[in-house]
Amino acid sequence: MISEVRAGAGRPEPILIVDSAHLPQVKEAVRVAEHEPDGDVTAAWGVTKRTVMLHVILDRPVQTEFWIRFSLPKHGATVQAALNARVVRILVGKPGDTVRSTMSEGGLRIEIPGADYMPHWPAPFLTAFMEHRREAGVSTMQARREADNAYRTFAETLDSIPRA
Amino acid sequence: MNTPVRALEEPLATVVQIAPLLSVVVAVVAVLVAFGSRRTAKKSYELAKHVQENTNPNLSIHLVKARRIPLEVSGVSVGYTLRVQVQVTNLSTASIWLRRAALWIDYPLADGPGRSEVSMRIVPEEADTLAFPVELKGHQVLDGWLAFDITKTRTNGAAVDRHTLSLIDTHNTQWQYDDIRAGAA
Repeated sequence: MISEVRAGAGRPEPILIVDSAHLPQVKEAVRVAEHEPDGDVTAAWGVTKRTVMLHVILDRPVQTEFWIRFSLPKHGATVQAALNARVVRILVGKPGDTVRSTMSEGGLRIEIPGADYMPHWPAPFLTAFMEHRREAGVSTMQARREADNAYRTFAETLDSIPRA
Repeated sequence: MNTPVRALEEPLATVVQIAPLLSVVVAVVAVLVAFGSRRTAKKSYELAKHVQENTNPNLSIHLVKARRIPLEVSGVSVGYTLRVQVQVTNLSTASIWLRRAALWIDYPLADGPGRSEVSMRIVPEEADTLAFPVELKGHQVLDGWLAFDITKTRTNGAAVDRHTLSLIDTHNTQWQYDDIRAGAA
């Protein structure tokens, strides 16, 4: 997560490091974004069983289209952070890269729809978490309690992060 | 007494005799009116189509001059500025509000062809530079210069294969002038 005074009114923004080995246009879009003052993007959320997808259509400065997949429940907190901030910053890298190793590149900041455009959230996360815990042998009631606790914990943590 | 019945018989007979003839006359008149309406409808349609074509936004871009001016920093070449003089004509009767101009450049990437947009350089103090937004009234012509900085870092060191100028209006309609060939300044 990163907060900048000059961007997004200082809201904490999640940073997504994407593996762009097979997406040269995405890599180029992230690189070019540092040289251009603004751009146009359309983004939409999609939800399937245990997966949340963010569909991004970049119109300029580079025309390209890609999907970012978030696995549930593993990336539930990241999705929540993105919904809260209504923006994500995309960096390109390879598996194993961290924010520290890629931070100098700046990144592509895109605005995305908030929670209003993902109805039923956090139900997909809670369902995925419960299924994950039940697969580990936990009872349904216990799995439900743990899912609610997990969601409450990261939602409160995200709300407590101060703005820049 | 059969007088009232007899009194009705004659007019009724007359009506019965002339009814078929009257029907034929009415049918012929109806057919003529229908054909007349079809021609009128066709004429109205052609007129409406002509009016719509004239009011649909339609822009023509004429490239007057294009120059490539080297960009240097401390005597070192870092790229070039593409300066283009354009004449933009509104071919329709409706007003067009142009909100921005941009340059699309094609250049090779390591993994294939790349294409990205370069924003216009804002230089208000230069004379005859086109400023946006700008309104072109019906059949109005606008003339001016646009400048775009293309540095080596911008294209990651690759040479630009193609320059395409794009003008965008307030309805997000784009008009493009493809493959600008620029001479040295």
